Amino acid sequence: MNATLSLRNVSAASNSVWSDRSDEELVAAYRERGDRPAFDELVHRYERELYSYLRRFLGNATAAEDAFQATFLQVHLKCEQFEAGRKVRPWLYTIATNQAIDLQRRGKRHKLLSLDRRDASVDDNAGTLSNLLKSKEDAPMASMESDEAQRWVRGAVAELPEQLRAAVNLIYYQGLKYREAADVLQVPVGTVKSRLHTAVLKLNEAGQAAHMS
Amino acid sequence: MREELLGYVLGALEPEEERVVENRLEAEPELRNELETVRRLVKPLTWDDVAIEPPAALADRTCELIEERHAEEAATFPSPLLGPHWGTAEAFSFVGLAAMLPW
Repeated sequence: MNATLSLRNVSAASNSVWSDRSDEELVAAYRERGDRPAFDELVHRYERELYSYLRRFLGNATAAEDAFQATFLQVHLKCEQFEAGRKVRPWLYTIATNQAIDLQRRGKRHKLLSLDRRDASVDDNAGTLSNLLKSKEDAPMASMESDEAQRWVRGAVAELPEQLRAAVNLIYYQGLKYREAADVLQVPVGTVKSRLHTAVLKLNEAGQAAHMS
Repeated sequence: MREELLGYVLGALEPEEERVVENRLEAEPELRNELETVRRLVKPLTWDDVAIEPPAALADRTCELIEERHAEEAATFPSPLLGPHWGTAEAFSFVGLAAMLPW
């Protein structure tokens, strides 16, 4: 019992040492010295944030858990490749996004339907939707009950093409800046802006279609 | 400009970009109208503004998984030259390189 308690105390003390370190210091400690507590701290630090991102991205709890574990397995395997001077957070999001996309493509867990079946191009400007921007009315789904509206929007985001979905999840739900999201997705900032804009228009178009039916 | 307004509403702009948008909003009433339109377009996303909780002990289970993986790697390639965090791929590379050397 005493031994267990003292082990816990050691563990807690060790955790507090690492909890003050930056993400970059944790990765450096793991890469250079194989410090397991540094790696564990990183996993715990990002548990909620990355799981939440993956859960929204994949629309499935089990798949999100698999992708979360696969993400940190990649961190373990590839920490040697982490470039000094780069920030860890966007690097983790890049790995998580790639793992989620791989998982989805391998498992075919998601329907490959886009919200716009006529044109699934992700970077078009959705010019036919410009009338939505001119509308003075509130979003067409505003009359839905809150639970119904929440389910609807989560489903509608999940149905977006993966590049649009990533932009919405990173910027709106995870709170990244345009520049950070571009770093994660490894595309120009202008592409991220365009994808987010297209995604928002498509969501409103889908809402309008749902409202009409 | 519409994409900048979207970024402004969502807090996705850098501080200097925000200042540019704010200056233009102050000077251009039409842009203020468009800002309201953008806010309406973004509103559906707010309906799913709920925290998503991870499953119990996800981080602990992930650490255990990596630990097991690490133990398997160490058992397969117990070389002291390989650091504790070396992966299988790196270990294979090392073994391949070692085989090429004229011992």
